Amino acid sequence: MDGQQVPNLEEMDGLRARRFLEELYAVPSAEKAYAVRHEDFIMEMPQSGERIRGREKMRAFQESFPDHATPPTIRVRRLLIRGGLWVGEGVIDYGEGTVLNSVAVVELKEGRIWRDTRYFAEPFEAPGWRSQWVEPMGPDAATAPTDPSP
Amino acid sequence: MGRTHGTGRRHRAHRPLAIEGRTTGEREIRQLVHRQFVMMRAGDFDAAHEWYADGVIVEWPQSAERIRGKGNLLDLRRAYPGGVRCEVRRVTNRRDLGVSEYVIRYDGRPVYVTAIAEFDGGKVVRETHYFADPFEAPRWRSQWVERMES
Repeated sequence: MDGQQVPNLEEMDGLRARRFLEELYAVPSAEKAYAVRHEDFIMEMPQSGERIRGREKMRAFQESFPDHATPPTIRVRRLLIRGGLWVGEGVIDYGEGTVLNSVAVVELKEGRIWRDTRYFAEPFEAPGWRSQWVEPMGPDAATAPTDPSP
Repeated sequence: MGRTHGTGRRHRAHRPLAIEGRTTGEREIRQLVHRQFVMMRAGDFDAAHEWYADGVIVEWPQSAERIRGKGNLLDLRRAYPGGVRCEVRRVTNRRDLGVSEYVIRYDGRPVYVTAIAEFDGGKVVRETHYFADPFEAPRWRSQWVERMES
């Protein structure tokens, strides 16, 4: 994203979309994120019962975030893209040992982010009782390849 | 976004769902999620897992656990504490990808589950689960947030 042209997210394949998100997370910009949101944007966090309606409010929320919390680093674990549906899995590191798994269900409309539903899940230790049916996997060991088609 | 709810009494737990060989729709996935929990509560684990392919891979990134194969999944689920009820909040589906957001309750405490299911030939070949606890909405952002049913 060069600041002039707003990319059409629906035209992105999996690799481009992943790169786009990684660049956005590396240098957080409320303005850049605002630019790729639809006018009817809604973000929901069901765990806290919070809904942010409209991309203006979302931008204000994001601009205010650093005043209240240290911006975390976000790593994309996996991104699945199918016909205007992006399902992103990530790992969010808030520092001081606080790390959460995250998942975002994102629906696109007219090339922009329209519906964005986010969940934040704490890591937990694998219980011993079920180890006979389970194999351990590394944090980056998602088995699914990224689908190259948008 | 109109929030939809479960199919409730209209759900037919004992009738196999004819999804073989075509794209599974959102309504069908919703029924399948319900059916899975209904049949597990009834103790019929084979019926509860009809929609999984024999070679299914289930991943729980929070605990870095991977279950390989329907046999292991069935054995694990049989050993699991039973009686969990499920309320489907939303299903989003495009092509071979279906995302179910639902709430399960342990002793009344809600857990928000996101299940990312990848289909092939009408069966789930890979499913990734996240389990997220409720959290309190921070006050500092309340000016941009509206409350929704959590």
